[in-house]
Amino acid sequence: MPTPRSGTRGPPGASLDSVAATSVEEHRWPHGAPLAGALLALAVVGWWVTGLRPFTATAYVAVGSVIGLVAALDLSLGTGRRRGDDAVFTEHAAAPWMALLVVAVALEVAGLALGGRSSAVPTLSTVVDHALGTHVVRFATFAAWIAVGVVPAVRRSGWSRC
Amino acid sequence: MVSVLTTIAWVALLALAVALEAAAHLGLIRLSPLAHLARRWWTHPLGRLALLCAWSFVGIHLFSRYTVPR
Repeated sequence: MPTPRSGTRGPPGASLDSVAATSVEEHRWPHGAPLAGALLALAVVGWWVTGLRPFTATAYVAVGSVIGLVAALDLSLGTGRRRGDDAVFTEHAAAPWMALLVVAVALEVAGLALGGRSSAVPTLSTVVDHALGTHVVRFATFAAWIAVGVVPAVRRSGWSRC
Repeated sequence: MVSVLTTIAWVALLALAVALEAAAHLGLIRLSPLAHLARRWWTHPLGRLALLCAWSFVGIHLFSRYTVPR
């Protein structure tokens, strides 16, 4: 797991732009062999975690540990706030997402109202359950889930080579 | 039959979300990519907490509580 060599915050009173610039300059991440080793270790852990039986203490502890590590990494990297983050997102620009969300919630509510395991109106979880029936697919999904949790924060902290 | 249609609806929704995200990134439509919305939320403490909670829920739900591996 890569760790920054120094903090992400700029001096008191510094502008957001200078804070972001400081963040980009100060973070150094492993590359080459150390990065490959870290990814390999993560892959091994991921394969093990996705092979655990659900509803067991081991599964809860394993997934909880991964969440704790990623959360600690995310929170330690700061926000990496940059110019344009406060750009106006109009309702018009987000309307399709809202429409998708409404349809998805309606389908989910219908499935849950029928017991959650209805064969007639399956919930999203039931559909995903069938898709994740094999270890390889579970592992790929786990990798994507980790990427969603880690990559954005790392990018915003300013990825740069040693 | 209803089950198949519902499953198709879920898959279509997921595919549509991916297509919208790609089109938004490419600038083909006037739409804020989810990545940009998440980035904006990430700059606020409550937004970060909400994103982390949502991400954690997905992980626990998928890998600790639901699917039985073969």
